[in-house]
Amino acid sequence: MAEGSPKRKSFEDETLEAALNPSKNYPRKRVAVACEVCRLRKTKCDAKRPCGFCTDAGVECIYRSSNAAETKQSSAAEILSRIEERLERVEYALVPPIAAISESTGTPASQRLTSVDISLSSRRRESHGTDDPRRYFQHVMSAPQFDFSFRQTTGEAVTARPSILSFTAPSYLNFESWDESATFYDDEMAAEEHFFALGESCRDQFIDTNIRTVWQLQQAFVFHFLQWMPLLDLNTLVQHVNIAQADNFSLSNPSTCLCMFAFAIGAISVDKGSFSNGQHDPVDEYPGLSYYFAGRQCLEYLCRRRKRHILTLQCRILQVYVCTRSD
Amino acid sequence: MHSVGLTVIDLQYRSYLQIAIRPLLAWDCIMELARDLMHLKSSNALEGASQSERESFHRVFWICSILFHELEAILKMYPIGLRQFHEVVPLPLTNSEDEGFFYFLAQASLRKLLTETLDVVGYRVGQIVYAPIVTAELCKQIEEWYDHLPPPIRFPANSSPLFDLRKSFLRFQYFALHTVIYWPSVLQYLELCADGNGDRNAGKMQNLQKEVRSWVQRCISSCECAEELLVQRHLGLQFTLWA
Repeated sequence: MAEGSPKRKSFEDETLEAALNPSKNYPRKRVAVACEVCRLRKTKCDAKRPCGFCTDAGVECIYRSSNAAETKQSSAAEILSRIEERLERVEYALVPPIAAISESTGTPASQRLTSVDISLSSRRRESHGTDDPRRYFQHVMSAPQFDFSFRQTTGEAVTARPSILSFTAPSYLNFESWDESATFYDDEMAAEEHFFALGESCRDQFIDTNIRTVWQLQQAFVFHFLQWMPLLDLNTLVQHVNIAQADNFSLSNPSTCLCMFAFAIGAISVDKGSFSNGQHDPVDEYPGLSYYFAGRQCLEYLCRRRKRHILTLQCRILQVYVCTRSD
Repeated sequence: MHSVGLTVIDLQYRSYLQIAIRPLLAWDCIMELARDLMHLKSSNALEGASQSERESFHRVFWICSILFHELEAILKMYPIGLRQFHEVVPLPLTNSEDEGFFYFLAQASLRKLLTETLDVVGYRVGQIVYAPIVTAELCKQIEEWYDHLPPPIRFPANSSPLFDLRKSFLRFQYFALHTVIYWPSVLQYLELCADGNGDRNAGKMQNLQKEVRSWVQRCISSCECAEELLVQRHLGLQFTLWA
């Protein structure tokens, strides 16, 4: 099929066809050379220049030079280059109508919406000139500078977007590019180690579970978390707290796990530390840290047994939340 | 105009630094969680589950999705396909006419719209690069979202003080999403100006100017809304929208 001659079916096919339909195929009505469009469409070509089909369709009728038709091309690269060439011709044949439609709209994808106020055309089209749609197509199809650089997302590869970490400014923006990802990740990794070191230091710390504290933290959790993210019903929460309380917050109890994370979130939410710029003891700096690490301990135990149980999933959500909000 | 854009970014950066201090840790956890949720959704586990368990699962899923995409935007990491599940996991139901729940539903559907938008704006398949049709369609979608907000969480589309952080956070994202949608128009405008081709395409420039103007307005609005949000610590502080 790579060999650009659709008429030249495999020998077996032809003989089979001839055997089945002797009258239809004989005498041969094929012309010696069909034009390129007819070759491609596998339709009969009347071999006029231009041929009947092309005239009707209003496309350019091209015949390959007889030499080219005869040469057997076999290497993959040659075959590919011939396909490319053919594709180019087909694209070229398609271009006039498309160019006419997209005069005011730009990208091929936006053709259909001519009624909406759209006079903006695509940047690519613009930069490659409306007068050479063929090159435009080639450009778009080949997508050479689809530069998925490190941490670049799909949309970004096409439309330069600023983010907090990096921005590759296009030349016309006249603005600096920046990339602070590496520094950011360095800092974050260091901060994470620090966090775990703190965790070690409060491992055996007393976990405050007196009724008053528990009630306050629970309230803070409901107000600052559940009203935003209704992970569970209030009743369910209260049940878990009661179960955990009855079990004296034993770390092997799944309800305790949920409570610990809920308390950690409650403790962070009511903390004003980062907004008052006061001096802190390192452990105070992380309100609810002891709850958080107790919760982690429970969770490790839970995950070994019932990793995908709903309650475990709920605990895991809370754990993530604590990580995104702890100060 | 540049400076407004940068203020938004700066704002994102600061608010981010203030709040999300353990993003790597959170990312590790949420990746695992998201993976498990996808496993569950792909299995028969939910078929056999009770109604209430299934509901709980939906809540977990959507909260996970919200947190996941917030983090993805901050860290500029690759998604692992969680958003493919947006279509197959229904939004959770509720019996109570709780405002919190309304907020949550609005937030989840906005997140859904947002991830779709981020995939489409500047997207390559179909060669939609700076396509006004996309801009128009996305704006329509977000206006639809806004029109369908239930009264308890309906917010005015201006920057007046709200004293309701959840509404305020929704409003911020509403404005911010517009700025994302119009961003390609801004680039296109700047490029035409830089080329000196402006005069040749007077009609187009006019249209672009209109879009750029509304972009600037939305930027200003989002900054103003962000001010109200930044005065205290709460859930609505993830300002990074695009990934």
